[in-house]
Amino acid sequence: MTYIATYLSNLSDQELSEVKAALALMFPKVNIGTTPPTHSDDSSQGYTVNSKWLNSATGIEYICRDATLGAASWVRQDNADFFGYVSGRYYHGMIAVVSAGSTPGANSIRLHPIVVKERVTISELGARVTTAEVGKSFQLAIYASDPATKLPTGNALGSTANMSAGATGAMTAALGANVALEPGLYWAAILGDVTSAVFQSFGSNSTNISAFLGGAASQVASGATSSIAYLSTAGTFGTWPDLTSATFSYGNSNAYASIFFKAA
Amino acid sequence: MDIDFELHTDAEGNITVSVVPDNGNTFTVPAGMTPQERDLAINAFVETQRALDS
Repeated sequence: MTYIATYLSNLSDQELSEVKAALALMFPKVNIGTTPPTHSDDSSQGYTVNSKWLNSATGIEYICRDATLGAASWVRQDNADFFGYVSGRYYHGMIAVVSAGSTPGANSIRLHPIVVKERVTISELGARVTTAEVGKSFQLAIYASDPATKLPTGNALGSTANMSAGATGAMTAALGANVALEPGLYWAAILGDVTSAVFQSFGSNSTNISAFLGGAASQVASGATSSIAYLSTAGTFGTWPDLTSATFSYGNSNAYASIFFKAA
Repeated sequence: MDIDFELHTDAEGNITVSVVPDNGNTFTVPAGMTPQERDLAINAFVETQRALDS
């Protein structure tokens, strides 16, 4: 350290400035705060292009693209096309076209992927019943995905009470407890005792799953009868199992439900 | 104008039926009814609201 201090003290102002610039390039200033950065978090505060900023309250990271005095530009990482969840609103976890479905049947867990774009606590799940079946019910749940296989895994992170399939309309239900989700891939699931009730889905030749799981060319190609719309595995209505070791079938019909969630 | 319905189930299993667009009318089905009784009650409310709208 003494050597470094001596070295620096012998530098001219110009040389010192160049050393500082080089260090800034190698070690851009990093800040961890509880608010997002503003235009004023600029070069006067020691920030440079490539500085990082983590809002520990939300888990959102920003990178500085321009540190110009009074006009700093910070860009959210991984979420440049997403602008945040608003408490109290419902959201689909995918951008997809909804379409008519067909009945998922009884005692079959049907799952589709959803992507959480930023840390969010969810309080409800929902789906639309388009063909009613009086006296029948269903439940909704959300599962984590396995980091390696991307498939559903573990116990349900949250699930609803019985919901009526006996009328048409937008059906929502509270989770047993709110669920805090970090950004990432999750699976929304429906399980009922229905035999003819139909739910709105994302269609039979969806690219939903192939976009996240990949697959054979015939599975990924749109319109192919072997394309993947949902995952299914056997279940018993009223019980959400641990899916860690479950075997999944790839469904290529519209016999599932497009499930949405509510930001608490 | 066609009306739609929202059915919200709370954590205890009580169901509240609302009309969309909101006409101020709601109907609550308590938890504990059989699914058949539950759905007959819901659909009776739904038919009443459709009749009011027509």
